Amino acid sequence: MGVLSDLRKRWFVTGLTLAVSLFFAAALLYSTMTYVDVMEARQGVELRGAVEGAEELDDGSLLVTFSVEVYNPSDQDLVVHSMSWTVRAENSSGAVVAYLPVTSAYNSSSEGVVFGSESARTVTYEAVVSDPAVLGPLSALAGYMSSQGDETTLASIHYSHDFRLVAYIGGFDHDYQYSKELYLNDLVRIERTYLDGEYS
Amino acid sequence: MRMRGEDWRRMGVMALISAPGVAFLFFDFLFPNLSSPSLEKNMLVVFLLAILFGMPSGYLTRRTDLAILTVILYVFLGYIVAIAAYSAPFTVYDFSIVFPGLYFMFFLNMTVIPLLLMVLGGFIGVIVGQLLAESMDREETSQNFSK
Repeated sequence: MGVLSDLRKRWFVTGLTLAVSLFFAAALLYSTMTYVDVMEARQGVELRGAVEGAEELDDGSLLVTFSVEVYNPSDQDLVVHSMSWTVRAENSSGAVVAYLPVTSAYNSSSEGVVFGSESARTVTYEAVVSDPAVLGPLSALAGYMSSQGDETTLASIHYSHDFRLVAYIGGFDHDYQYSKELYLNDLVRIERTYLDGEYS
Repeated sequence: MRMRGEDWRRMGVMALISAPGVAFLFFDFLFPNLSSPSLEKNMLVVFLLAILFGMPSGYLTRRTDLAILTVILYVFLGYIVAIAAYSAPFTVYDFSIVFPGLYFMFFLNMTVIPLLLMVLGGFIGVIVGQLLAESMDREETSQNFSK
């Protein structure tokens, strides 16, 4: 008896087997495409077009601004785990380089920020610094630099902007604890940083 | 063990039918958070499904040696398909590889236990499938005689 005629004779089991096979073939194809999307997101997501700004206001306080575009070319949404922005000024006038904190902001996962698929969205931060404990050292630094012949104001000090984004792709599970499964967390995790004009 | 052309054809057809399920289980075992539907690395479910995948080979193949050979064949074929799916982003789409250590060793290392379960479950499934086939044949014969 030929193979096909035998399969036809036992059509019920053959049909069930084929249905199961087709189901798993479709599941494998779908899962593979999801996997490709995740890899695309890992490779394609980038920060770009960062704009830094500092302005001295009439009341003597300092307005610091920062914006950067988060570009997500993949078919998966990015669910933000954390976003942080830190600004500091570098005081290299002494023997040891000192960093003067200016301002910072932090967004956690509880805020539910999502960067949609195939989109570019700009993140903007603004902070008005009026605390004398912060402005004092900055004014002193500006004064010192001016005394060295380099006319400097609060607005023209070089501020170092540090922006960090940690996001998970598509909301896939990423809470694996067992050491041999940690690669699953890393697989769907994206970390991008911007520091002083450098993207990574 | 004497093999005829028809035996090879039967084994080939059964391997092609059973391989997608096996391939999906390997892939799912490697990426349970990406695959859908996912078994979440539940070894008992993997083993039960391995038995289920082995049953058609036993049911549709009279010779036990050929049925067991079919199990080895479809597990091997499924493993190759799973490796192809695992490699798809880096071969078809040219994305950079992100896995630590040796690329294929990583896959082998993560899937060696389900591989053994697939073979063992398949063998058990063959026996169950053959018992089922004999039982159904007996019932068919008794129904024919009772007419």
